[in-house]
Amino acid sequence: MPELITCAARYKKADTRASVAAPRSVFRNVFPKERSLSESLTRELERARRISNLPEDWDGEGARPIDGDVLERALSFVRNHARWFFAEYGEQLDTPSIEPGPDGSIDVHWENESYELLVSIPADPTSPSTYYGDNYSDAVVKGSFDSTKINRGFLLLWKS
Amino acid sequence: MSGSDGWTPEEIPDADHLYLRVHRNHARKGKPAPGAFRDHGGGMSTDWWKYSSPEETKARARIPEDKRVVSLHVERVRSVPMNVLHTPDRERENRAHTDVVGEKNAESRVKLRRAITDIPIPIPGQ
Repeated sequence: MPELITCAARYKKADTRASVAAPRSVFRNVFPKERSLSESLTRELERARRISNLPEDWDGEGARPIDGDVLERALSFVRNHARWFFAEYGEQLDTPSIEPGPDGSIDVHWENESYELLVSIPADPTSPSTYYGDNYSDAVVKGSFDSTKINRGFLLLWKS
Repeated sequence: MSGSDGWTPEEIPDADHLYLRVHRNHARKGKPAPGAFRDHGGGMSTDWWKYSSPEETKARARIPEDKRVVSLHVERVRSVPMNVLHTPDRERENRAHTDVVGEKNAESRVKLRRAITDIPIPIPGQ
């Protein structure tokens, strides 16, 4: 491990002077994981990358492939909200499922005993994202929003 | 009421069930993901249990082994709200074909997913 730290430090120093990138594997082994993202959320963010590999008509019923840009917007939405939630409350955000949605969109779906929330990230970057969620009772959130900005409305469910 | 030629659309009772094919890429933790609820043309294609079995619905897929079948309760589908329209498909010889018509937005897809029931066994004559 000391050898790795030395190695990483050398890369880091070189990086600031000459923009030499260190191999990601080096930093992954040395620096602690980002605390704002749980292990399961980190795994889900990685797993979701498979979505952009789905071919045309991947469901045998005419489904559109998922554009890489939509996927990146969906992953950024999740990461940004998880980091904000951790900064505000010191808690890790529950892990959603990230799945292909209709018409080339991506669904970000939280479902647990306390609440269910579905956020739809559209294929068209100029269209707003839409969402619906409830606590299986009278607490309901729904509407549209800019997924590049933090939506505090989700707190009604995330903090329930 | 059943038409004399067998292809006239009928009124589907609230107590009945519809069968929906779900691709394996839309199955998560034993349940379809919300993305499984989407339109194909005029609506979301399902089969009315009166004229189809789950096995027959699955067999109508282009690649049946990629599909599983779930059952939706008609009354719960209508409460989303959605229109449930019997649309027999003579071309594909599918008398059970039924369209679930209505916007498939985030709210309706969450609620359609909640209309899933365990696949019941139809009782002949009822």
